[in-house]
Amino acid sequence: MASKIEVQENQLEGVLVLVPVGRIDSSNAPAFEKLINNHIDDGETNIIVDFGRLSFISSSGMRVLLIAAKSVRGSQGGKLVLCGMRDSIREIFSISGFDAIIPVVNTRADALNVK
Amino acid sequence: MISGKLNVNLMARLSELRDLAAMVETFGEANELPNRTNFIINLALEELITNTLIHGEFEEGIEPKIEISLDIEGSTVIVVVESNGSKFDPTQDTEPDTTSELQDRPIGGLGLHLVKSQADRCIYEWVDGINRLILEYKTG
Repeated sequence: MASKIEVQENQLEGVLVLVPVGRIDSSNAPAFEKLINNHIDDGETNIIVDFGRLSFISSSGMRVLLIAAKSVRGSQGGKLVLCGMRDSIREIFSISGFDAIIPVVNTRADALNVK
Repeated sequence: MISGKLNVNLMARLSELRDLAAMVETFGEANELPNRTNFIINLALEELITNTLIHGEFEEGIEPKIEISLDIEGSTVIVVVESNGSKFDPTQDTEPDTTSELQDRPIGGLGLHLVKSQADRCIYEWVDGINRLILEYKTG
């Protein structure tokens, strides 16, 4: 059964900041994917995902971020930047090589500075 | 208080994963496991069970079952996952592409790679029609 996901949304200097809360796993990754896709369809080209309130993410959630990163860069020349990860989450982004293709930085301010 | 050993039987449903995650958290806290160990065990169970439910073919007429146990021996946590689905050895699964550029990077195939990368030991056995995966995590 699919689960919901709580995602806080802010604007920071004209950039959309998404703050998922709790867990992103196989049960709620589809809901997270739908939410990001809706924003991309609405024309958002630069998106920051702040992991500060996220305690867990599985490969299902990472897959959603990979698709979103491809989507904003491919068709619209935009970018997806990730920030605020705890060490255990950052480790799996490193093992998977995702941190080489999707920018991962410490803070939202750093995220704004990613070229 | 849970300590030392945890046994959980799951019906093959994704909706049970959240309950399992909560139980593993409680087990970790009761046994004072490091946060990282808790995280990677939860991740491994999520990836393995999701994989079994999505790709594991269960014979018709047989009730799908997944059995999980966690045990601590000295400074090692031993996680055993057993399922009665079709034979599948995750230790022989193809390594995913982790180096291509963004637009060429394939979607998927990552979950089992994370499980194998983070376990200190990973052993697969096929015993009497049961898939058994034994994962070991050193905490010290």
